This record gives sequence, structure tokens and C-alpha cells, in this order.
Amino acid sequence: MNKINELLISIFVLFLTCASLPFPVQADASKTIDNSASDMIELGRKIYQDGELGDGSPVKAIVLGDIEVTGDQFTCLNCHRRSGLGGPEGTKYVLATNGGSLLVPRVDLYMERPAYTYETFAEAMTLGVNPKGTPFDPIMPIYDLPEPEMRALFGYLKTLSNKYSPGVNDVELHIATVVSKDIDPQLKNEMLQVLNAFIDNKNAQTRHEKKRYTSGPFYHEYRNKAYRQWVLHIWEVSGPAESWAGQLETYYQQQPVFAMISGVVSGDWNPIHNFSREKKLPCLLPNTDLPTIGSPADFYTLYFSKGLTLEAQTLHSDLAGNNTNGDIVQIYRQGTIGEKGAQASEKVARAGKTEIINLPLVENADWQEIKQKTIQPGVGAVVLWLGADDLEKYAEVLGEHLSSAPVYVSSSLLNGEYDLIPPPLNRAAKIIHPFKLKEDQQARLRQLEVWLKQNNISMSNPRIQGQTYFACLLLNGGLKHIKRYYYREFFLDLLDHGERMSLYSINYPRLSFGPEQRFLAKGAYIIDPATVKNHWVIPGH
Amino acid sequence: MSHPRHTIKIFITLLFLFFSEQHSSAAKFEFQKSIANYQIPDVVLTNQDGKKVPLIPFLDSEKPVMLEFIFATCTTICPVMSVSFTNLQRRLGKDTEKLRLVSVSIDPEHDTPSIMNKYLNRYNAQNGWDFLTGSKEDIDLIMKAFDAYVSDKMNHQPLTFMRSPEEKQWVRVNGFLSGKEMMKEYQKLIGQDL
Repeated sequence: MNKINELLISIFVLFLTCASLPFPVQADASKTIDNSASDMIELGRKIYQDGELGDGSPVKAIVLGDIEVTGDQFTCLNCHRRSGLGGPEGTKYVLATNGGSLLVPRVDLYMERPAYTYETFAEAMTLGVNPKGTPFDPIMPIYDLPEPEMRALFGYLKTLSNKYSPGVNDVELHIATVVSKDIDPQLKNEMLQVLNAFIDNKNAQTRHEKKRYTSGPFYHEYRNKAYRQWVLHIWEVSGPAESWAGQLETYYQQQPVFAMISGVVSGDWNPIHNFSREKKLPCLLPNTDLPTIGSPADFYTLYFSKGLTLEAQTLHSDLAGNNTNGDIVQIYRQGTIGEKGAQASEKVARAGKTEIINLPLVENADWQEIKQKTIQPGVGAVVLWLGADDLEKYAEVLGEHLSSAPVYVSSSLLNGEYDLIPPPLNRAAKIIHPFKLKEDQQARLRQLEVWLKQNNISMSNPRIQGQTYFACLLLNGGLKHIKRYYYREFFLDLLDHGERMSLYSINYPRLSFGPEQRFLAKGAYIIDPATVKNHWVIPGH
Repeated sequence: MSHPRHTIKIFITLLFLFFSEQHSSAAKFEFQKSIANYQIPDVVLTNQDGKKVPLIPFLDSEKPVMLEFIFATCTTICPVMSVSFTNLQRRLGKDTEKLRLVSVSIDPEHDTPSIMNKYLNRYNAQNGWDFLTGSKEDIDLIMKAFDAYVSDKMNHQPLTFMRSPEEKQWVRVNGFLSGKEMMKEYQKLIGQDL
């Protein structure tokens, strides 16, 4: 009798065990995993962000009940985001998976569940139910993870967004802007005036929050406790660009900041870009035409556009679209930003096997000789990476002898002010313009002007002032939605959902936000005065 | 000492409870299905290979068509919709070209042919699945025509539109279908509804 009982119970236990496993037990592929804590966390990060197991093979899962999905198609990061705090998308709300959320019980209007333990976490991952037994939405995959990987993932999640990022305390939020000492003082002032006025206004308008922070009603706690006074730091760098990283490190050690905003330096933004990546420090919309075109993994710096690289790509898209034949002659002044534009263009041309002839301008340049080289037969197009002064000189020597080949002018080198193009170029040259068209910009410029006037600032540089003001709006928008979750990655995750902010853009048309999108404006206009037409070009389309 | 009959009773009861629990804890699929007429705009889009695709003849195909609105950097909805297409093609085996799968980008500023190509490779797309992009104006027109327009792409819905070659009307599914349900819908499109 006993034997029959034992047998039945054994069958039932075996049945339960097998039925609880959605996948066949697989060979342990992770035997070589080093079990040191840091390696386990790194393995957890790889599973979460890259969808890879310890042996480098993709994570396997089942989504929507019966559809196989692998880690090279999508990963935890896709939905739960880099911060692990999830968020809304369309009709779905993705739950938080960071340590601070998983390891505490949840009792609120939307959900009630105990805190996760490793065991309930593993059950959630393999069976698709929370510790209370409530099933997840079918878009949450169920996973086929060997035990070491499951433990590694749980270990990683425990460390994810589990303490405030540096640069924020209970009362203050520190932000920095980077300027180089050799920058035009007026330009620096134009940017700093906007930053200071915006931050002063913000702090003044929320002064009552300080009181509410300590004595406000409990049901507004989430809002009141979110309040921080913003403190701006100006990090001025000087000397060779190679020394900037060390100077920024010194500033950071003195007072860490939560994010960098705006900024203006001479030359490439690269030293600041690298600092931002290494410190995992958000850097929001610097005023630069020379951003770092890095990999999608460069998560921390958000640019308006690819600057002169975007102009170069737009130029070559237009040339290809018009089946331009012949050499491309580029004129630029040596040692200026125009040289960077010419280099970017050469790089694009090389990929497309187009011949480029560079005519660098030096002091006392022979403009007659330059003119001859641009109007001779065999020239397919002339590209002028020149500022307003050099354009004047070129126009003067040209007289009415325009090149029969199309001539292109960079708008960025004129700070977007293409009215500065002198005759006869203004009647013939195509303008590569990555900014809003003048007629589309008026309403937003008027709003900016009113705001500047309210703050006793005159509108002297619509580009720098407009860009800096928009950077402030974006910072404000992100921090408004961050509530009290001051994690840098969450802040950037929120900005990825900032599409609505595009409406407020002053200088750039059609900003497009999204994860892995680190250059908000993707295209540029080609303005053609000869045909009185302009068209929007997105390189690669 | 319990009698085996008693143990069998407990065994059956436990089994019943186990299956009841399994049933009650099963994830819920929620979707709405409706039939609608849509006036397709006369626009020319670009596919993942950079080829121009006039939309009206492309959708007015001799094959059944399934169409979704997605974007390459979408975080939650699009990856799941895309694996659903991957799965459907896997189930179709050699017959992938008998069904026209169409993904239309709702982030045309970002989704260039090269990005769309990479995206399709990531989802192991086979012949018969195209990813289309175009000017923002044209994409807006298409979304409006399918009553799927959102001004902010992050607010998009998981919509799948299906049409069989003989039909003028589209089946509109708002929500996610399991692989099995998706296959069933395909069979309906080709008149093999069992």
C-alpha cells in the first residue's frame, strides 16, 4: 500500500516539476563563468543589455505565449530601458525592474505584490507570474536562463539604479556648462546669460516647493520631494584640448554634477564627449558644429545634429541626386572650422569614390588663381566652406564670372545667417542649411525675443541663444518627469521619449527623439536661389 | 496509513487544482478586431534596398497583405510586432513570398534604407517582408488613411492591418496575437479557415 502511495506521490511531484519547466533543461553552457561578484554583475549586465549568455550565445525566450525570440532581436534593455525604470509606450506601461523596485513590496492602487526574492524572481522569469501569482502581460517574454545566468541577472538588477547619481542631494541639483577660455567673450556671454536667467527663473518660481518639501501633504509627497534647487557651475577649460579631460576631472572632483548642459568650446567637442561617456554623465545639446560621431553605445551625449558632417552628407546626397560629374573643388581657410567641413566632405566623397580637389586658403591667398581653378572645365561642383569675410573676397574676384558648375555654401559657417551671402553668389549658390528656414522660424524667434526681453537680454545671436534656451527647456522637461528618481540613465531614458519637445525647437526643424538616437535633427535644406526652391534632404534616404 | 483510493482522490484533486491554477494564471491576450475600408494615398515610398515603391499597386497585390506601423528604435511595441512577423514567416517555411508583409516606418527622419535593412536582418526577415519609409508628409498621410495617426510616435498602438487579395476591406487588429492566432488569421486571408 505504502509503495503505491509513494509511487503516486512521486509521479505527481515529477509531473509538477516537469510541467513547471517551460523549456527542456539545457546543458550548462556557463561552466566557465567566474563566480566573482563583479564578474557576475558584468554577466548580468550583458544579459540585460546585450541579450547574451555567459558563453556568448543569445538569450532565448518565448513571447506572446508561443513565439520564440532571441537576445539578438531584443533584450531586457529595450523595454525596461537602461535605468531599469521602464515607462509608458503607446498602450503599454513597462514595469520597473531596478533593485529599488524589485526588492520592496508594492502596495498601491495599481498593484499589490510582495518583494521579490531570488526564487520568486526566477519563477517570474520562467513562468511569467509575479510573486503574488498574477500573470504578466503576454508581451513580457518568459526566459530560458541557466541558473548561473539567472543569479547574475538578479544580481545585476539589484545594483541597477539603486542609489542617486552623483551631483544631486536632498536640496540641490548641480549642473555644469563647459566653455573654453579662448572662445569669443561675447559668444560665451550670450550663452551664459540664457543659462543663468533660465535657472534663476526656475529656482524663483519653485521657491515654495522648499517649504512644501518638509510640510506638504503626504499625497503630494512624490511631487514635493522631487524639488531641488538648481546650481550652475561654469567649467572653463584652457590650453591644449588633450589637457581638458584632466581639467574637467578636477572640476568634477570638487563638485560632481548630475548633468552637463549646453556649452561652447573652440574646436571639436570630442574631449567633453569622452569625459561624458567615461563618467556616465549626461551632456545635453552642446553648441557645436563638430560633435563626435560615435557608436550607438555613446549614450550620454545628446546633440542637435551631426553639424558639419551632416552638411557634408547632405551636400553629397544632393550631388548624387543630380548625377553631378567632374571633380568637387572645395575652398576653406586653413586652421578654421571650414577645414573640418572640407575634411568631413572628403571622408564622405571617399566612400562614394568622388574626386575632391582641396584649395586651402592661407594668408595673402591668391584669389585670382583660386577663381580660375573653380571656373575651369572639368569642375563638377564648387563647395565654399567659408565664413562671411572670405565669401566677400571670393565674390569680389568672381565679378559676374560665375562657375558653370553648381556652387554650394555652408550655412553653419555663417551661423545660419545666409542673408550674409554677397552677390552674385546669393543669386546662384545653393545653401546647405541644417536649420529652420527663416520664414518657419519667426514665431519661435518672437517667443524667444519676448523671454529674453523679460530677462533684460537683447537678442544678439539667435542661434546660440535659441539653442541654449531649447537645451534648458529639455533639461526642465526631463527633470519634471524624473520625479524623485534622480538617476542619470532614467533622465536620458525620459528624454528619449521627448518627441513632443520638438514643437518648441527654435533653430532646428523636425527633431526626432528615440533610444539610440543621439543626433536629434537628421537632415538639412538645400536652398536654391536660382530656382527659388528648397528641399529637405536626409542623407541616406 | 491511507488507502490507495484515498490517495488517488487526492492525486486527482491536486491535478484539478494544478490545471485550474494554470488556467487562472495564464496571461491574457487582449485585442480588438474590426473591419474597415481605407483609401490608400497615392504616394511613393522607399524600401530597405533604396528602391522606390508606389504604395497603391504594392498593397493592391495578388497576395494577402499584412501591414504594421513601426520604427527601428522603438522600445516595446515594435520589437514584439516584428518577432510576430518573423514567427509567421518561419511557420510559412518555403511559402514566405505567398504573403506580403509590410512594415511602414513612423519615424521616417531616422529610418533610412540602411537602418531598415539592418532591422530586417535582426528579425531574420525573409523574402516577402518589406520595410518602407518616405517623407514625413507622406507617412502622415498613410497613417491618417489607416486611422492610425499619432503626432508623437511614442504613443502609437500595436495595429496590424490584413487584407486578402479578393477583398477591398481590411481587417484591423488592435493588440497582440499569439503565433497560433496570427497563423489562423493568415489562413482566413487565404480562405483556409477551418
